[in-house]
Amino acid sequence: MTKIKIVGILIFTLSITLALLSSHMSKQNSINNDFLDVINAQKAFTQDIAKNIFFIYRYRKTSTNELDKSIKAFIKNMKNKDRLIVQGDSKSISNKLDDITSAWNKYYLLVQNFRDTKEIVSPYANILLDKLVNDIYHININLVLEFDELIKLHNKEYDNKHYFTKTLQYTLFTLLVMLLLYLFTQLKGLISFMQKFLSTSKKIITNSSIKELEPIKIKDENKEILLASNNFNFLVEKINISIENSSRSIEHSFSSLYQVENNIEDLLELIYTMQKSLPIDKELTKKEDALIDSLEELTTSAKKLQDLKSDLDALVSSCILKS
Amino acid sequence: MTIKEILESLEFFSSLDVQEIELLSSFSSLSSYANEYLLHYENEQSQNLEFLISGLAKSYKIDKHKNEIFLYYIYKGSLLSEIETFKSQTLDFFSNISIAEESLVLNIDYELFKSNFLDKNKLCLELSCEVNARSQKLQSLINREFIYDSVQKVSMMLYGDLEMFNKLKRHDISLILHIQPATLSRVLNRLKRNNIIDIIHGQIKVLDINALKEVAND
Repeated sequence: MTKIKIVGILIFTLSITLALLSSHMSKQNSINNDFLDVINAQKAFTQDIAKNIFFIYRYRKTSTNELDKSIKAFIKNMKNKDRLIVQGDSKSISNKLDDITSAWNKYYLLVQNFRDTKEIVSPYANILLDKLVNDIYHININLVLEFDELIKLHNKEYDNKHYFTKTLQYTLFTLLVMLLLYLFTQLKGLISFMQKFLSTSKKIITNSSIKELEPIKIKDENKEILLASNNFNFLVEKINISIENSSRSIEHSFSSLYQVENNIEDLLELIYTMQKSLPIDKELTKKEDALIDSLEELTTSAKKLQDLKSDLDALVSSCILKS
Repeated sequence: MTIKEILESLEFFSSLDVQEIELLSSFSSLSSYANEYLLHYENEQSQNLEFLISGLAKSYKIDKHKNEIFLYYIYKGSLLSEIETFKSQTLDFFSNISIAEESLVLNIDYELFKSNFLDKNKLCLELSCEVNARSQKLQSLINREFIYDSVQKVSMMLYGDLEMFNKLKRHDISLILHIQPATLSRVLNRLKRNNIIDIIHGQIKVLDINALKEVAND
């Protein structure tokens, strides 16, 4: 029983620890996902800017509103990135971010130059514009690659950082499963004892008799279960012995009473014979009265014993237990 | 006989005048019962004060082994009901009451009887006498059950109520005296051998009343 208690406490503690650990991991995953969302959004915005530049370059009279919107969204998203990066800070990621920032600054400068040059209508301006679009194309590809690399670095860093937590989580989970299995093996014996106890009790009740009760047979190494079954069997044995002794005692008392009655009857007969031949003797009459009364007492006692026997029989084999 | 005539004939109501008898008869009634009729169960409550006008009733209890424990006989002209308290508006029965011989019972509404007579201090003395008589029966019962031996029990009954003794079967007498039939037979033989009684065709005849009294009070 002590083992079961200890295992129960351990299971409870482990469950709480696992719940807290899972909550922590879930929080970290959420932060990681937010960061990846920001990076992917930045990637999408640079693509968007490039797409707008190419469209404007093809159709010169197109408004730059869409381009401005994409630039504003990128810059706004950059602030979120800075906030998230602080939590997943590492040297390689910082370097990569510096590279991206530097590439972005170049990209942004080229985009601004493109906007300015686009307004000028001259052959030289067209040559400059061609070169700017070409540069924007290459830096955009470079930015996309840098972003992909950043995501890879971040994932690697995240996996390294949470390797211990995950291992701990798996270890605790395995331990919990093992403890549950151990608890089940311990409870199996207890459940088997309970089933046997219930079936034996039911047998006693349905038999409507407490005569020749059968003890529980248990093959269990658990000390507590053995002790409980021994106690039950001891009680059953006591009941069996008591019932046997009571029946025997009453029968013995019966036969003794009848023997005494016969002796007194003989004595009375003797007194009658003595009184027939002699005049009435007061003392002898008193003795006769006493003997008559003794016989009456004995017969009453025998009748009471008979009542007691029927009470006991009713207890043993009537429907008292049914109620 | 009318209720009024019965009331006038009972000694219990002899102190009442004509008007009071008239009043009493207005809330009284008569019932007749056959032999062995179970009139009341023990602990039963009754609204009526009952008098046994004729016949014989028996008071008894039943033990856990379903044996009948005889307590006493109630003779004609006696109160059937038991009064445990004068404060209650109902009457409780301490024991079972059954009819031993065909009987006539007078029923008086106890609540009206109480308000019209007892509360006006009438018939209180008579009622007290009845309660005393019941108390004496219980005293006899205690003597019979706890003090007397078998010989004294039989002698006391022979001395006190020979007519009843001869009227009843031996088995019933042994039940009444709470002794075994064999013991009753032994005692009668002992008394016969000592020339105190004689048994002619199963009927007991007392030959020496003084000797019988002596045995009873020994």
